[in-house]
Amino acid sequence: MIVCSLNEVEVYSRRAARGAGMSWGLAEEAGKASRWLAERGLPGPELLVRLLEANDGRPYSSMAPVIANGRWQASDGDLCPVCSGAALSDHIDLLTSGKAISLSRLAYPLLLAPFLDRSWRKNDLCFELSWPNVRLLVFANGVTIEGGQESEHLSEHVDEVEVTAGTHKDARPAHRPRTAGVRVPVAVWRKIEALAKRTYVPATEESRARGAGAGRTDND
Amino acid sequence: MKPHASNASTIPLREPAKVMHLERMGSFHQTRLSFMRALLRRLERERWSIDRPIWRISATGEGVAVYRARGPKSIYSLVCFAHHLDPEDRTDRVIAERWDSTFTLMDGEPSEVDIERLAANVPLQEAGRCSERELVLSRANKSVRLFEHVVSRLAEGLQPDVDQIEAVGYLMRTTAVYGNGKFGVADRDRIAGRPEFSGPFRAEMLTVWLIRTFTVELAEHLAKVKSPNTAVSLDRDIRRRLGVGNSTGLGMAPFLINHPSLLHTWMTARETALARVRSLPHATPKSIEAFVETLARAEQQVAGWRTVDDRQRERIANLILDLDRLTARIANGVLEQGMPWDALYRWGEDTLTLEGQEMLVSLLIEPHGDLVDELADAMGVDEDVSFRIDGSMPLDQFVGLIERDYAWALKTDYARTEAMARFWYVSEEKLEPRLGERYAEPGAELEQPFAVGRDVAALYRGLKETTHDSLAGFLLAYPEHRHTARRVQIAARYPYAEIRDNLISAKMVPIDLLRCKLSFFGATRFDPRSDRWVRITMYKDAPFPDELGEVPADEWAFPPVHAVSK
Repeated sequence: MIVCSLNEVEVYSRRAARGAGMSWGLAEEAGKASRWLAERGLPGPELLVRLLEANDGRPYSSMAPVIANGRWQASDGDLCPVCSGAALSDHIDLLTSGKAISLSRLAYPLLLAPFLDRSWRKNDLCFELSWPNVRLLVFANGVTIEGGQESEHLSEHVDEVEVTAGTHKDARPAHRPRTAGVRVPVAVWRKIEALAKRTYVPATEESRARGAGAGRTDND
Repeated sequence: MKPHASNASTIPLREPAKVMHLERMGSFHQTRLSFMRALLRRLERERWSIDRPIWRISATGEGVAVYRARGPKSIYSLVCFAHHLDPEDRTDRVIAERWDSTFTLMDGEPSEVDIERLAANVPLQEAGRCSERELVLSRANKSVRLFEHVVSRLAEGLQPDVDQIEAVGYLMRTTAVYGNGKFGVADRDRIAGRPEFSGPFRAEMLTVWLIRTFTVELAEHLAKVKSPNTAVSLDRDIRRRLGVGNSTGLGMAPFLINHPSLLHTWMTARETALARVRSLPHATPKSIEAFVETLARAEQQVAGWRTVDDRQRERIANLILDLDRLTARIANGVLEQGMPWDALYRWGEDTLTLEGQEMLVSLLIEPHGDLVDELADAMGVDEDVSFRIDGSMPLDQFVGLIERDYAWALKTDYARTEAMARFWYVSEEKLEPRLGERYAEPGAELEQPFAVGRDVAALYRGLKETTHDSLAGFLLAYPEHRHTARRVQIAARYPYAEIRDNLISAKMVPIDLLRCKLSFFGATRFDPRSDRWVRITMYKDAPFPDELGEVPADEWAFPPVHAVSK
């Protein structure tokens, strides 16, 4: 395990998402989502890196939601939870006006949860995500996951997820945010670094000389 | 009867369209609100005490030292490692792998086990690993010339030459001060709730202030080793002239671009302070006296401001002329008229260079601590609040925001080579931001999203062609605009969020970004070493820990004339 700061989790997750082909704006959402889960003791970086590897090279248009009659689904294959989460956050009015949204064939449903928290700040509501055997409640002060096994919480694919806004209260959600270092498996971190590396520009003699603007001695 | 007292007008804040240009931001000077100054005011007010529980530095100047800062509720420790460094390894640039000294600021006090752990990691800097008990990671190199001069003079029982001290201004310069989770140190969120660290960069500023003491005590130690019978300590008045140097390059440049809402709060505090002073109906005799005194101090200080950079040297020469004009201007009683500070500011706008105008801003704020100092406590922001995009915004409204806030971006012709000349990227070698030449170097396809103007113009074109009617629908279809759309909404909420210049133009001068940020830190004596890195001085003339409470904690930024003159 490597102990990372939350800032490192966010920055490297963002770079990895960008490296895997997401737009800058979506990569930012991916970084925040990874951090949000890690902050609550949930395996954000782990899930994100699996998602990014699974979707590596896949066009956005195939994994972004196509919206029809309250049902969201990808045009081809599984929905990406980051693309879907960003769109859910943008369409939060649909949820807060009382409508339910169904997402069909979604990868890593837990990665949707962070997108509902930021919405919560503005709307004094709790959000509920449910998939077979699992109900997940997103509160201002944390997340509660009900039912199911851990493998179901971290599921890589579910056929159907329903998202609704509600007014549930929970004084002591199981997963509350804490600002402490996060333990990330070394293998996961290496994969994140490898994807992040795709966003870096290798040095050339020219850029070494110019890029940082050297040119004068500084041994004085 | 005071004719203006009852109907005092309130001067509005300067418009973002006026202030948010690199040319002006790159002319900023420190103010009362700067972070170093706000920190030292607090340390004095709360009677922090600093001691040195560990000093295990060898006769060759290697080893470990610990400085302990005790406040009302917390203790922090600066753990210092002093190393031997071969001259060929001494470089300020981020490519360095060894330094004269390396440091970490720890939460609480280190045990021997901690010191062992830190000794294995802190000297490696980026290549090592810190824990959440550490708050800041830093390193510094000697100014070899001055360091050796000071050591040999002290060893002989003499004080160093004041001219040489003034010429350099520090014994060591830091080349990085990392906080907020970098390389494993604690996230800012972890400490932001503590009053002493509620403002931005306070832990970093505390670190540098403690490093300053270490640099002096290391020199005194080596003088004593060299000649135990004759060595003396630095005279306090001479010692105070030593700050800490700093070399800063492009690594810092994107900060203001990456933190738009934070930039807004910094600018708002500064502009609010200026507007409050300009709105004063009258100047009190005391404030006039203080202003005149500060102006004299500024003249002395600017006269001692040395740089190797031609552009900056010319600007300093003009600034000296500006300060002469200012001195002449206030000689004939203009400050006794109504709204005197506003009149003086407006005169300055018509008369002075940008360096001079922004120095005038600092000078106007300076005598009005009672009116403005509380603003220093409001320079942080919760950036998460503005992260979420309001997807429900109708597109015509969103287009209106762009037209209102980004007219500067829309009028640029990005087809011109000059407008697209550069690209920002992250270097694989050092994982640091760099600036490339788009048409001469590889890597432009890996460009970082700092070409704000160009990207807003592209978003605007996209919006003009779309059939979507809400932002949510548009962004679902065009995720490539998501980053920029977020910026537009942030800028709509925070008017000072955006630098209103093309950041990839051939004419853009990167050190303007650095100067702006460093002025908010409280840096002085900007000495550009190229268009992309700059040396500065921090805490020059400030009190040392053992004189906190004896020497005024907040006079140093414009040091008393007697402290500068020979």
